[in-house]
Amino acid sequence: MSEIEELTAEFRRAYTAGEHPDASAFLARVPEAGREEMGRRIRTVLVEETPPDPAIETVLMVQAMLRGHPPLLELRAAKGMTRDEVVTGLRDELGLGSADDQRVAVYYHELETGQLPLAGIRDRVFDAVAKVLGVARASLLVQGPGPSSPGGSQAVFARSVDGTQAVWHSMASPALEPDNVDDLFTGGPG
Amino acid sequence: MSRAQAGDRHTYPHVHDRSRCTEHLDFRQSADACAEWRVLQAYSVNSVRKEATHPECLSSDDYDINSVAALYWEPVLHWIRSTGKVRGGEVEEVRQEVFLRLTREIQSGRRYSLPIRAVVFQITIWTIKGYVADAAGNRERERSLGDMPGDEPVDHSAAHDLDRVGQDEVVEALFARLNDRERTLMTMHYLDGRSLAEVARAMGITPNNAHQIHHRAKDRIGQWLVEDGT
Repeated sequence: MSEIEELTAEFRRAYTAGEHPDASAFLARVPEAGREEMGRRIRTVLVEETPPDPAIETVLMVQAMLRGHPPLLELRAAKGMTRDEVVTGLRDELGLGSADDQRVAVYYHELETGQLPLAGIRDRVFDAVAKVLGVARASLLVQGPGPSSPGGSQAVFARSVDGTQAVWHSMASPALEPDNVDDLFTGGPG
Repeated sequence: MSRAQAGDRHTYPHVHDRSRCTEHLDFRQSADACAEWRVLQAYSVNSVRKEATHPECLSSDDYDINSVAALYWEPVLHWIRSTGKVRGGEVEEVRQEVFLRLTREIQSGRRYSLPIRAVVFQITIWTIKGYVADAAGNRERERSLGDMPGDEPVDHSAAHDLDRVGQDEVVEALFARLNDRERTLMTMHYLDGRSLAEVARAMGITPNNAHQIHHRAKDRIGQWLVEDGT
């Protein structure tokens, strides 16, 4: 059995078992010349196999999204976690210092309420959020801003305008150079 | 059998009951959030799968976007990543766009006549293509125009290519690549809602032959989706 065939079998087993295999990681395990073939084989598995049962957290977040509620906020509330707890967890996971807590809190609020453009967020942040909230990265449902939210999130935007954004604008300085925290939340993709 | 009659066979009224049941859950306001959480956990995830993966002929009544989105949320991520075309947070933007489009179409009453898995992945393919093309276009505009005086303004209100791709095009694009017999059979079975036995009689072939053609056509469509991953 070739390396790609072995990896395909490994992906199939993990996928059907609901172990949330990372397709990107599987691609990275083969030489560049074989990645297109690996990708094709992964898609074959996705077409052939019945999807595994979704995580209960995914069901919760999807229902929230379709009701126009922020999925991450609903998940955090359901898990009984405060925002401070999540921020502390993120700080640790991302290797930041306690001095960054306030800015991480602002960014996390924007992430949680669908105001942060998704393309700018580093993979590490998604991984950290998933870990802190106790869900698989693949199950995480993070909404971006604007009209592309299926359930709409105008209420969230309205609430945030005079709150966090005001705090953020008061904290931000035009002369301030983007730092590590900014890069994590706005420096993507990648 | 009419299309509506065919759809009636696969209607799940309890789906909507369940939606209403969970509608009132508000963990932020509940004094007993943990109890609510247990209620949600007790709700069988298996039922989500049954509702979303009912085989073959689906009518608009069968689509419960809660179930479809929950079941395919993760597979769509794998699909996007398997292409290696988008990365980081862009993957999440594409995934969101896929389900936005699916939601819009289902909520507007559009109906697909293919297995929902094929529809979800076909929409994923188009969304990735549109996203990659948009990104390339933006880069090109930045290179060629910059902020020079006289630059043509970008029309952000212009309809996105993806929005012009209707549900019939999904089906037609796939069926158009089949041979005559396969296309005829698939059209009669999926678009007209006829059983394979009825299709076999209409085409003058045996039911066994109809099943073989049907199976082969589905295999081919699946293969195209895989090959055309982006």
